[in-house]
Amino acid sequence: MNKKTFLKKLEEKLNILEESERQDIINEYKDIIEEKVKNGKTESEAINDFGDVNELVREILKAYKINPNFDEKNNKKEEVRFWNGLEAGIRTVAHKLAHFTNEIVEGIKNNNNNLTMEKVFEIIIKFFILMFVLILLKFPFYLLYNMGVVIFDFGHNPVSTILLLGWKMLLWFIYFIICLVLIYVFFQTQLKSIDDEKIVKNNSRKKDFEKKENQEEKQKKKIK
Amino acid sequence: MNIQFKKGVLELIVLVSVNKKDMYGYELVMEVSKIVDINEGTIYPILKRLTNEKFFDTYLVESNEGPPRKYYRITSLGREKMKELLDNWKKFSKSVNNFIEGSMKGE
Repeated sequence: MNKKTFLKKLEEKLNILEESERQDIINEYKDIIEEKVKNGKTESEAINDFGDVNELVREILKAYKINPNFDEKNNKKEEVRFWNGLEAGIRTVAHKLAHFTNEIVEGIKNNNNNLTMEKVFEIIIKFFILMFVLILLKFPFYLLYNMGVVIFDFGHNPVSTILLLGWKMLLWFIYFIICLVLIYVFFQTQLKSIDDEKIVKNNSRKKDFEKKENQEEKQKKKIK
Repeated sequence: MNIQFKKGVLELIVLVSVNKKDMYGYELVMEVSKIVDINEGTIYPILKRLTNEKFFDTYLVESNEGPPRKYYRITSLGREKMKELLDNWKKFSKSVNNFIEGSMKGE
């Protein structure tokens, strides 16, 4: 195992701890590994000295009076894995949104705008178009739902109501997922285009700078 | 050497080491491994636990070879704990030794 993998594993398993504590611990282990490497060991050797990662995590959690069995038992349950995945997903989305907003805010702050007001409005308009598209997208789902009404409605009995309800929920769920995906893709592409613009502008600035340099050199030669 | 002995006495060794001199993580791990041959992975968690229980303080020292190092320093509470453990250890080892000597003599 190399340092990165080991530290990542450790971080995952110490998920239950507060961010600052977790970072603290990871940093210490990182320092210890690096110091050992400085003194001649390989990363693998340094990590093997720590023994089994799971055992390590148990010992660490004991320091916080956390029942080390918490993680082992519960993480094996489907339920908790689902919530963990959900939490991770939410975290990523929040992270991406924050990143996106930061880019915009920074762009507006800089007077050397990578991101002009123009671009911001471009994105806002595109966002509204996206919303419009999503609303339009509802129509096919309404049609599907009504189809369901026809199919499942065989008289006022509880079975048909339940089936109908299930059908409705399924359709809503699918629609919701599609919306999320489209919004996610939208933000990704917008973010990328902002980054690309930055790169293009930087490249064109580089070229301008190089041109200037060349001109200056030529002038120097002339003077000589 | 028996693992039970080692684990029991590890806390004591960590306290005594840091009492002798402020140390950073790696330093402590090396120091303790010299005394007891034990899985190094267990040393840092003990350090962490003793710090959480306010027996140790930490402070950072800038290093020109890399990131700042975190040093551990014993508190007065820590010194009390250390004395308590030392006391226990002395009594314990004394009783065990006496018992063994007594039994051996009998043979």
